[in-house]
Amino acid sequence: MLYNLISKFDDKIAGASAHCDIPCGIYDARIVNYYAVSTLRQMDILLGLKDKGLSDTAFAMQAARNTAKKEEMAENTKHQTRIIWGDFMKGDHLKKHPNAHELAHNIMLAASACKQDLHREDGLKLVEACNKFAEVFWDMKGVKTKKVVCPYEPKVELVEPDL
Amino acid sequence: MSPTLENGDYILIKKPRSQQKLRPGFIYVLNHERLGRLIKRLDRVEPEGAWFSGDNPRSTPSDRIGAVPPKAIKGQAVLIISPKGVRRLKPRD
Repeated sequence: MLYNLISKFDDKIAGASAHCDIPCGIYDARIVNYYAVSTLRQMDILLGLKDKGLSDTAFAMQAARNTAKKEEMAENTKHQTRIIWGDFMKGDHLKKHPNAHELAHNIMLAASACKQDLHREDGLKLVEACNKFAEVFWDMKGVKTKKVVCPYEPKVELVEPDL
Repeated sequence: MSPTLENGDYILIKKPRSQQKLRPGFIYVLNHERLGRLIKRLDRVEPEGAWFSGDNPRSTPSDRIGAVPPKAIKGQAVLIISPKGVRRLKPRD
C-alpha cells in the first residue's frame, strides 16, 4: 500500500498543520479570574511581609518566592486570556461584543503592571478587567452571570457563570 | 481540515507558477509568519494577499490567518495519500 510505503520515510517529509492549536473546544473564563485573584493574593502577602518580624534572610527568601509567584500568576492570567481571545472569540462573538479586543488588552496592561511593581490597586484593576472580560465571555456562551465574593483571601468580587 | 484531511495523511503539492494561477476552492500549503506551516483552503485572492480558511468549523478563523503574501504559498495540494487509499483533491463545492 502506498501509504505504508511513504510512512517509512515519514521523518523525511515536511509536516503541515491544519490547526495552530488543538481544537478541544473547552474554554472557561474562570481560569482567568483564578490567576488574577492569585496575583492579587501574592501582592497582599508581599505587602504584609514587613509586619511578620522576619529576619533579613527570611524576609529576602520569602519576598523572592512570592515575587516570583506573583509574576507567574500574572503571566498565567495573560496567557489564559490570549487563549480565550485568540481561539474562542471570533466571528459572531465579536460582532456582538466588538469591545472584546479592548477588554483583553486591558488585562494585558493590568497584568503587566502587576508584574512590574507592587501596587495593590494594580491587582484590583486586574481583577476588575478580568471580571469585565468574563461578563462578555459568558454572554458569548449564552450563559448568565452572577457576582460572588470568593470565599478566601483576598475575598474580592468575581463574575461567575450562573450555572 | 477534517473531514477532508485527517492527521497523518500525506499530500502531494505542486508549486503555483504565479499568483494569477492560484485557484480559490483548492487546498494549499503555506508558510505563515506567525502560525507556521499550514494547510488550508484558498477562499479568495485579493490585492493584499490570499485568504484561507479550514474545512472544519473549529478551524482557526480566516481573519486570524489574515492575508497571506503569494511568496508564502508553497504549493497546491493535488493528491492525498491516506490509509484509505489515494485520491485527487477537489475544489470545495
